[in-house]
Order: sequence, then structure tokens, then C-alpha cells
Amino acid sequence: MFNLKDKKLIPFLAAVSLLIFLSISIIILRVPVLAVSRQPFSLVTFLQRELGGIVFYHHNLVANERLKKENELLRYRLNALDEVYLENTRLKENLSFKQKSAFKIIAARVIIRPADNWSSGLIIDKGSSRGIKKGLAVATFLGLAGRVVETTDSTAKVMLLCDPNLGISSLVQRSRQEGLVCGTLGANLIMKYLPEDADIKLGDTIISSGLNATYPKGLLIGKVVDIGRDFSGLSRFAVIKPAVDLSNIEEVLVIIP
Amino acid sequence: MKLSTLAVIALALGLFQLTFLHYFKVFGVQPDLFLVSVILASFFLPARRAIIFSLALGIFKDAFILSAFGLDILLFSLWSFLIVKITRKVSLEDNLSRTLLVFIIALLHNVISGLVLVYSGSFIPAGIFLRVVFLGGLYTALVLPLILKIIKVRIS
Repeated sequence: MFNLKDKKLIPFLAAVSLLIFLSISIIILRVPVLAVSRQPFSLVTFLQRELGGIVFYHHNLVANERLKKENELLRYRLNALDEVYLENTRLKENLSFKQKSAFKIIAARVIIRPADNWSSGLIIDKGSSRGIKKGLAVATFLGLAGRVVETTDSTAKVMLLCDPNLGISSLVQRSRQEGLVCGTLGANLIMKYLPEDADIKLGDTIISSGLNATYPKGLLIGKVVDIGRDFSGLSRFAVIKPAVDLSNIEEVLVIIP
Repeated sequence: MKLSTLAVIALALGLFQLTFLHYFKVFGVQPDLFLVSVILASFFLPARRAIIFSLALGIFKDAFILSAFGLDILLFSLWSFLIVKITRKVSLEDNLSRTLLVFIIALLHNVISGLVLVYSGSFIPAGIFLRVVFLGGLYTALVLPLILKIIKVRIS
């Protein structure tokens, strides 16, 4: 079946070389594909949203009522926190603390979902023309969602927290224990390199540590749902349930420092 | 089947995979409709056209993947080449044998993709690895008869 005669060997080798060349140069080939795909996928996402609004009308009505009440409660708490913020600013000035610059946030819509089961990347409908650069943190109102890994003029590729290639320096909010949160392609994340005597327990909140300039300090990552011992027995790990539902993100916020 | 018809089918399947398919995940796994399009092309198109079509689909799919290396370009072309070679020797006219072939190819595709990810340094728990490999392959294989039925209804 695979008997290659000499006269067929050269074209075969040429074909294999071409395939390898195309595989390596996919980074360049992606740009025109993404540029062309943006508008059709934006249209499909728009139709999907409108159709969902019609199909799930009653569900949306009930959710709307609940969210209105929650909104009112949050406005009340925000007003109370404004006072705390002003007092904090005043006290910092008195102690001559350096002011941190505020972050700029760009809202973007997800237009393309992960293409297969081995990747956890989304494509959003804003790109470098809006100031989005590679390496920026991406979040939602619920917490951290991922990081920008590639940009074109009008789109950006976001690697989600559940991707095994993404690692975030993080802290246990209660005890300030440090660790590295990585994705596992599953629904949960894993916090690695915890020492034997790490002060961490079920229900603890995990936040970004801010050691990496990309991720602002204090961004919510998730909650601890399980703790275990590493295969080597030398360290422990914690299973983290992410605060953001990574499989159903519709809109994201790109944080520009 | 005409190349244009197959291109429209592949485009529709690709569009569906990249937008709506995440609603149909089973245990966090979705079928690979791009791979199904490659296999359909290999069944219904002449050999050279099928391989070039598969190459183009590989480029299209890899444009949306995060990795820096276009693995699907290589694998889709390889599967198309193998299917073309196999169908010359063995008759695969019934849905059951086609489904079995899709299952084996999807399984191999997932194993290779998963191993490349693991050997590049990513940590994937064994349970999730096996779930994606087997369930992903099974789901992809089970989708093929449905797509073939839709195509037959459309063509007739």
C-alpha cells in the first residue's frame, strides 16, 4: 500500500515539506483568516443572542426581575463603600502613599468559541486598533477569565484559565499563602506548589497575587473545593472552582494597565 | 458530490462548531466537525482534491487554535491520504463501517493532539485526557451518520 517508487519519492518529499512549512507558518496564515472571519461570526453571534432572547423569554423575564433587585442592593452598598474609599484616599494622602493609576477597561464580545477539545481559547471582536495588546488580563464582572495571547487589528485571541498552558501567580485571600493556579482542560483549576504546612482549607477564596504585572492584584479566581497531596508526596495541591463559568462566557473585559 | 457542495457543507459545519456547538457538549466534550468534513471529502472527492481540501480545512481550523504549530494541517492531510488509500482497497459503502473508521481516526487524532500537548509541558489529569480521547472520538463518530443522512436528504 505504501510502496514508494523512486520517481514518486521526490513529489512525496516535496508534499511533506510543504505541509511542515505550512504548519510552522500558521501564525502568518491566521491573520487573513481571522480578518475575514470576524464579520460573519459577529453576525452569527448576534443572531444567536436574538434567537436566545426569543426562545428563553420567560427565563429572561424572571432573571431580569431578580437582577433588578440585586442591582438596587448593590447600588446601596456601593454608595456606602464610596465613603470608605474617600476616607482611604484621605488617609493614604496623609501617609504620602504613591497613588496607583486606574486601569482602563475595554468590553468585548465573544464571537468564536474553542475550535476543539484540546484548546481553551476564545476570539473576541476587539483587537489592536482598540489598544488591546498581547499579554493583557481578561476578566468578567465575576472574576478573572484569562489572558490575551494574540491580536489582529480587529480581533484578539484569549486563552482561558482552564487552558493547561496558562499559569497565574495567586494567593489564598485569608492566609496569603502563595501558589500557582493552572488549568486542566476540565471545569476546575488546580493550585500547585503548596508546601506541606500551607494554610489553605476548603472554601478559601483564591485571588491573583499581582506579582506578575499583567494581572492586577486582587482579581477573584475562584474557591477551593478540594485539597490533595502531590504524586511525589512532597507538596500539596488544591482544586479550585473558577468564579467565572468559563464554558459560557458571552462578554469579557480586557484590563489595560 | 461536487466540490462546491462539500465546501458549503464544511463551512456550515465549521461555523456551527465555532459558535453553537458548545451548547451540545457531553461531559465537557464536543465532536470535531472539521474532522468529519475531512472524512466526507475523502469519501466523496477524487484523491488529489480531497487532500488539498483537507489541507485547506486544516489551515482554517488552525487559524482559531491557540498553539503556535499547525498540527491539524499535518493530521488532516494525513487522514485524508490514508482514507483515500484505504477506500481504494476496501469498500466502505455502509454507514457502520464508515462510522467505525471515523471513530478510529478521531481516536488517533485526539491521542496525537493530546500527547503533543502533554509533551509540550502542559499538565492534563489522566482522567480528563482519557475522557477527551474516548468520548471525543465516540461523539465525533456518532455524528457522522446524522450528517450523512442530512446530506442525502438535501441531495435527493
